[in-house]
Amino acid sequence: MICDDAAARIRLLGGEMLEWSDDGPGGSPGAGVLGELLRPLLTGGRVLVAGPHPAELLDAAAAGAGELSVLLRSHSDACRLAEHHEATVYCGSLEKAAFPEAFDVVIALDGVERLTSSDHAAGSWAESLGRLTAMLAPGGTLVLGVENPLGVHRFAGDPTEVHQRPDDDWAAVELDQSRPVNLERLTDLLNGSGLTVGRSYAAYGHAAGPHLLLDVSVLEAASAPTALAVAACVGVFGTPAAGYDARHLGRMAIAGGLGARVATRWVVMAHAADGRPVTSPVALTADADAAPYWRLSCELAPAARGGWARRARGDRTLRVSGRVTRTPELLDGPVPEGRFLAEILMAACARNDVVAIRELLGLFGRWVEGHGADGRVPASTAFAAADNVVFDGTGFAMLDASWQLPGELDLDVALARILRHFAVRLLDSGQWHPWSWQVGADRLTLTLLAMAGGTADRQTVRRGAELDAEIGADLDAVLEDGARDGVPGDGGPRGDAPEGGAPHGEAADRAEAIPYGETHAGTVPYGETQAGNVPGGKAPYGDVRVWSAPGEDGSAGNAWDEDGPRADVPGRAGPARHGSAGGPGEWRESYRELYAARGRLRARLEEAQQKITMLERDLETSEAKLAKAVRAAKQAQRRDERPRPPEGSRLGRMITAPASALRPVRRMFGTGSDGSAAR
Amino acid sequence: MHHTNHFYGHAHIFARYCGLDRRRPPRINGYLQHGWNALDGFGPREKYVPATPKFVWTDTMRRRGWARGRRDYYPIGAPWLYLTQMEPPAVPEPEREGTIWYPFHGWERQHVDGDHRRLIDEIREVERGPVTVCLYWLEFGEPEIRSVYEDAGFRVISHGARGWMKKGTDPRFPHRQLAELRRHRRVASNRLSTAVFHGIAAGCEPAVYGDPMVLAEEDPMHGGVARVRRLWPELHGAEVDLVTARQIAAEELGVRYRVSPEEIRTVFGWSGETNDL
Repeated sequence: MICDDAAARIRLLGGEMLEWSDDGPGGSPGAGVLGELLRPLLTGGRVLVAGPHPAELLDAAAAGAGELSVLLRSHSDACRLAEHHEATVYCGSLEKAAFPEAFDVVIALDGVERLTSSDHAAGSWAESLGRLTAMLAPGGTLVLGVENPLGVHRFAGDPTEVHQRPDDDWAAVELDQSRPVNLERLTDLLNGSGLTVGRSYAAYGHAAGPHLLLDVSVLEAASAPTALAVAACVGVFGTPAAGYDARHLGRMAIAGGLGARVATRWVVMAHAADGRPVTSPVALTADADAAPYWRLSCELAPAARGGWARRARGDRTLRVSGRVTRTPELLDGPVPEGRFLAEILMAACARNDVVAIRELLGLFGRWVEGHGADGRVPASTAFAAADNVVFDGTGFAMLDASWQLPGELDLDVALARILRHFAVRLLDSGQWHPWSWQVGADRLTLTLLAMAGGTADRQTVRRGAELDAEIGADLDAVLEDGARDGVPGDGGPRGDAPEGGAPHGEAADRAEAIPYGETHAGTVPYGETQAGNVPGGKAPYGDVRVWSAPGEDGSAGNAWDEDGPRADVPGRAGPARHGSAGGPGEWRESYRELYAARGRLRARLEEAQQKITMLERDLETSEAKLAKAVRAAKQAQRRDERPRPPEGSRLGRMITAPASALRPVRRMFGTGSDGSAAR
Repeated sequence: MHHTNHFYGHAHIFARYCGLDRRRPPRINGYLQHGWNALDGFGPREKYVPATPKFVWTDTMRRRGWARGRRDYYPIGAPWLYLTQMEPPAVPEPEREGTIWYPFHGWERQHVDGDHRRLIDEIREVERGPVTVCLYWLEFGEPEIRSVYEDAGFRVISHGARGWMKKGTDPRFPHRQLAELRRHRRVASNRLSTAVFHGIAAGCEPAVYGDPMVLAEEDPMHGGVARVRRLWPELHGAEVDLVTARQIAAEELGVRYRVSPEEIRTVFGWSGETNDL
């Protein structure tokens, strides 16, 4: 039941959907990017937010708008929103929408598809757009998000398009000829509605909040910040080996100037006649995978000498939790280009190219070593994780150097942390690698450490794992706070959990065997994994909360011996296709579940193997005991038997070999072939 | 298959439409929507065998059901449309007179008396000509309820029993309803319901007014009277625009979803059509 004043803010239009929610399970990782984009627009005036939007964005809109109205088709979403925001909530179908006054700003970043309820046969895409633009006051601005039907999120294919269509897929949108399949068509439609198109952005990453917005004209003219775009597009660690590997197609498209054509979505600013164009940045990015407390939005701009320069926006205060700090100023400056270390390693892993792995890790080891001297490196080097380091063919560079730890570290420990972080994600990704399928994260770390030329012993790996765990706990501790302070109605604790840096420290031997834990399984392999900005950020699927914070229970995060909790929380039921733009269908969920199941089986296997080892040891012990007892018995028997005839002796009954074979034995025991004493 | 397929003689209408024995309709391989609602045409909590078609009146039913996770809808239009097609009105049509009034029937027997009295006052206020009150067969069987309306000077009728578990089905039910509707100029009810749409299709002017008799324990999944009122405000009131009403009725009964006897035979699994091919 909702409170009275919230109920009073809801206006039912007709066609409101009961038993329905458009809130995806994925949360809204990159809402900060959209917030930055909208900031210049939200300076008073009448604002309409049409369709489902991230709660953070509504906070920003509520703060900036003179008068905020929201249009939603789901009744439960409307009730929740009315409870948490001071907004007039119109609930019902777009067909029924009628407002007393036009709006100065209409924000429809979710697009127009989810504005029509099942009570009405949706008109064409263009008709829906027409209804939206009709709500604009003279001089008003429309901020429209449109899913790209040819976006990189569709590269892997989606069998749900053939069967098991989700519940929100009742209309054949693919047959709608007015639906824009490129930006030119979209621009034509907007011009046809009497609007002038300002900046158009290509958006990459999560539907509810992209990780990266790039001005399309810049994307076409200049080269895109490829590394950032690839990370935002499909994630550094790629997708499970379920569909086509979208990473390579995505990278080729972006590098080939087709970035806007394969963007997940487009975001367009359009102005009605007499509108004043709003200055907005060329490109915006955010590390969506960090906990809200750690998140930073950055503006990107083409640098004078080629490449891209970055500058942190918004709150530029130092972030601290435990020993981990993040300094926004350190993000300012040129963005390095190249391929992610993780990307190169995984490509080599996929081909069993062990030589390449050795060479690359050797180079990398020396690069890390170069940060310090005498086997000691600055502790911040531990953040040079494989998804935060790019290699341009000659040298390595950290993509995000804003993360820091005080003091110095042993080189080997820093390397162990970095390589373990990679090992966990490699195993979690389910992709091919040259080692045994039984190999665990620690064993693999040990191997990689040896390949990188480090000290490969269990002690070093353990210290690396402990460091990993400490970093994870620091990010997590803030995550807990952030989750509590965070946006209400954003999916509750589950919605926030994954966005935090992960408990990178799936350091428990077992943890590596749990690829997907209590993460929001609704998120996409793409999109959710821009680990580039959170070095050692969350695992693409992982977030297994195996870690208790150090000191919390005395276990001090020593995960080596710790028996992590079983993360047998399978993925949530599949979200709708439109629910998240990386659009995992149910099939992807089922892959997740399969991977999780495999992880659990692997954990059980390891458990069983440990048991076998223990049992073998026990067996050995008892065999030794037995042998000893037999020897003792024989001696005793010999002593006893000497005076007595041996018939019925226990020894005689135990031996079942033919008599001829027993002859030497009997001789040895001093008995004749006829069983009588030789002497 | 399902006993509700025989409600109101719907199966019989389709048997006749397909040229089969109208008294013994074969088993229908699926579920037949037997009345109009603002949901998917079926009960919100009923269970259905997967992959068995649900023959609904319109595509709207499919969309709403789809959003609720139900599948296997097959829009064919309302049985009423097939009946009116097979029973064309007399030419020239006889003079229509008065109003046929369908009081919304609930199952709450204890309060029904007071509700009916209040309703009678409202009907008297609005209607100018003679009024025929059509009661649900259960209420028709109650002499007290009948007498309330009879004492008010209304003609009281019932179209018959819809049947239950294939017993007591009155296959003449829809025929009686059609004959009555064609005698009246207006059709009215206190709720937008199947009878009102049937009436519009049979050429009556519709009206929805009066206390809608909201039940205390109404299923919230239907969204209640208010939701229906928000969706079709045009049909509510003592006088409504006839052109709009006819458009809406055509849409809600599914005029454009009607299918041929061949298709019915195939999808109903009649005459072995589905297996022979």
